[in-house]
Amino acid sequence: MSARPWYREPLLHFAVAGAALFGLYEQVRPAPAGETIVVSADTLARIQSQQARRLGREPTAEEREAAIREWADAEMLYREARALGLDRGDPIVRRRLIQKLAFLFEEVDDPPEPSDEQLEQWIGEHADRFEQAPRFGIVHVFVPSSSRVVPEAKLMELEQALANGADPATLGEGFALGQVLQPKTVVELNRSFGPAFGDSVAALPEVGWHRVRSLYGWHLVHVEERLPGRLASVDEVRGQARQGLLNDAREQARERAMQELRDRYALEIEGAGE
Amino acid sequence: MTPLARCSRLSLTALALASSLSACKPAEEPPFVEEREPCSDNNPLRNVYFGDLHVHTSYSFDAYINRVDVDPFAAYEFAQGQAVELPDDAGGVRTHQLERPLDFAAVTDHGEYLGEVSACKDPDSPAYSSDLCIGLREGDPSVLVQWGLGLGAQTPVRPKAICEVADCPVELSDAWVRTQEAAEAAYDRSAACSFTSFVAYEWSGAKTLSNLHRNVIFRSERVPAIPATHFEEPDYWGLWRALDRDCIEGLNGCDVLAIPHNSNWSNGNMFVAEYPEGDQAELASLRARLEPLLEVYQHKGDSECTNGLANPLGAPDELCDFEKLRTDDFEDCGDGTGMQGMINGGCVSRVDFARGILTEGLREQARLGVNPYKLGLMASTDTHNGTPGAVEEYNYPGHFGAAEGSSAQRLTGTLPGGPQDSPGGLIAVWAEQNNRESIFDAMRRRETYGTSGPRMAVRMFGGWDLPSDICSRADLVELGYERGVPMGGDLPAQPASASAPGFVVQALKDPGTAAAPGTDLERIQMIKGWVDASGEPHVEVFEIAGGPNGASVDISTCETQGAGSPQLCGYWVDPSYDPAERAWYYARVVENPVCRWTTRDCNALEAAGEELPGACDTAIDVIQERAWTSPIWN
Repeated sequence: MSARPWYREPLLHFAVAGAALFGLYEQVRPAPAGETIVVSADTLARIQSQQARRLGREPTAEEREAAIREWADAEMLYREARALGLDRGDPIVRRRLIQKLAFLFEEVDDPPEPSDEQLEQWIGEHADRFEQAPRFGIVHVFVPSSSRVVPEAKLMELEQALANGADPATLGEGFALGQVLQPKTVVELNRSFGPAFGDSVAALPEVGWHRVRSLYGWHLVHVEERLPGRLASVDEVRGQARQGLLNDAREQARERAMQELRDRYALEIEGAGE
Repeated sequence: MTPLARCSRLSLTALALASSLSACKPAEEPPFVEEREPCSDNNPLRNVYFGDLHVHTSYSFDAYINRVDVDPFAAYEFAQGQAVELPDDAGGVRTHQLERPLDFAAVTDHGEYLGEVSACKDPDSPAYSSDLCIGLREGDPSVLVQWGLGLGAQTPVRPKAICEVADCPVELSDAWVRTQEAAEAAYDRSAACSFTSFVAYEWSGAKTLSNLHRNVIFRSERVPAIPATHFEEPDYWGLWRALDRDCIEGLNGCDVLAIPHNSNWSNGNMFVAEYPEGDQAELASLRARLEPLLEVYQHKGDSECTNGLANPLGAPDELCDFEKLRTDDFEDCGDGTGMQGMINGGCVSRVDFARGILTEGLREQARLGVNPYKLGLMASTDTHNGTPGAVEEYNYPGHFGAAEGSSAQRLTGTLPGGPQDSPGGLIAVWAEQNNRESIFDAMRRRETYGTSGPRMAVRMFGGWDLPSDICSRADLVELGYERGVPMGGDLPAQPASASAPGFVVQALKDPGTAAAPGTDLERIQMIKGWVDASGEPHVEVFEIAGGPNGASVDISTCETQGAGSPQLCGYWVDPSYDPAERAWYYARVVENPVCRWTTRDCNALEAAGEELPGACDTAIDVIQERAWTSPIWN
């Protein structure tokens, strides 16, 4: 490899970026000659586990030795670079540091675990996200018919049987989606049975068996369960609500910290106001 | 990698960190349980869910270079019904939106170059001003070729022009974290279970330009710190070993599967029965464990079957003349392999297509005691527009962003097949709930089918004592599970009382929407493959419900004429069952013909009084959309 200036070494960039994360609040001082590099037990373990993952096996003694030397070389480069101030003005380092401090700001006062009451209130404040459409759980007896013909005799026979208390599982023909459907919204029913099927089901009376036409034929439908439209309960959306509430709290913490910073700094824009 | 020392806000990064530590001592962690509310719709008899597990976004080099600006976040929103803007042919944009949202999707950007693309987009990156990055941003075709060729190399290296100045490992790690964040943002963990996303990527190895690509799909948010790409693992055996080591064995809560696609472009290389050094039976089970599914259809055409090979595995099947990417006179690979399939070169092998692969699996099973190719079937799009589920023939947005931004461009394009490209298909799964665990487990047990786009509901069961009147039994589904196995399963041992296995297949036509109703069904076929006593493979196609019905389509208006069936059901007993032969059985459900997308584009050009490209004379006018179920094995 030819004359690439040493400060353009990618390894250096890597170490600087890494160092920015580890050594954020550590000492900044020029490296005196003969400084010692301590490979701590933690560092050693990390080097080893990374190597093991890369190789897919435990490294040999030589490989381990080489990895430690490589790490130490990088550490030297990193310290020298820091001493020379090479991290200053580097956009990658700048971005990492900003990111890192933003995380720290958010953690300054870690929000307490929200109570169910707080979650419920938060759900109410975000009703548009948590409103649930009405759902209908149905049992249906299926009579295939491919045209607009109504298989009147067959439907009447089945209606009679149902009125006499026959088990619907013994009536009608097979239907790939099953005979008992868990509560579904009008949109979901329309999507499975064809447009308008769900709307028809939603308009059915509470009791009895009723004829509803689908794309596939006729169905004698009994609405087993009717869940009204409502706001989701805490138990139904606990994770989302908790995450949303905590995110809000962290966002506020960061904004507070940012505001304190803004108060501490004066902003001067050259040429402004002239 | 540079671990972030403290970073609890980015829960994904924190998880990645926690999991990479746990790799050392997995025993100390309690078993992983997904944090989510139970779905309010939880059906023990399983619902059908439709998804797309092959989606490229602006994070993929070949999408970005064609001016695609839809990122993984936007792609997941598109899957849920939001509109996206795609580049048109004149430097502007056009909007695209699904008529119906999907139930699930995975963004599968090329793991290769994930970090490089990110560096090239970042004005602060030292790589930004490199020629390679400038070429990528400006859509220079020679850069696309250069990057593409990099994936065909035997010993791949990351592009020096970028990675010598930018920190590629960190860029890769960051892009991978954003990929995970996009999946997390889209995943509905509430009881509504309205949408499921998967963390995923594509491994894009392509030795000598024979396609070997795999989509890698993770079961949960626990995933390895970086994706194992062609650069880390240049061959697919290495990929499976890495996934096994770094995910399944090494990371608590991590599980994964890989889905090979476009075997039709592999010159026999994807499923050649060759093994690296080691115990072949063990290697075959590793493969079978990691790869339960095959993507049989997508933008780059059909990989079910083909006519025109010296050993076509049975009588010619005219329904195999379907969405073929290669229309040239190709050479038959025989038992060998070729190269350059990805540029439509080299030979074509019987193991480039599902029927040949599945029968080869039976032969390997006889030899090794393990079937390495026990593959269920699925389909997806492979969109490079970030538009999962955009599969409609009447509204095809093209494959490659700005390169296919208009009717004329799509009809004259060459990437990858121009007028031979297809709008791609969907995967359907039978699962209890719409969540990651339930859908992933359905894929593991292969209770899946692929469609060429439509959302027909297809159910199949096989067994030894299914009642012959099962189609007219209201408890068809209950009976199927009680007395048989669903698609993807193995028939149990033959009871003394049974003489041959029976199968039931029911299909409900795609309901479509009020604006765009679904198409009637024409027929259901059963495809049987087996290997005879002398080791010869055979395939036979049986008609089990419906049949040719005279329906047609007027190609000048695209209006359909004649009716088919809104639903079909067939019960079939194998008439030539031989207990000594291993066999598989899958169903193919075929719709009535409709206009192919090319016909729509040509009609649009004609109506606008524009010149018609040659493809309007040569392209096939109609398409019979279809579904392919996973096989049942015996």
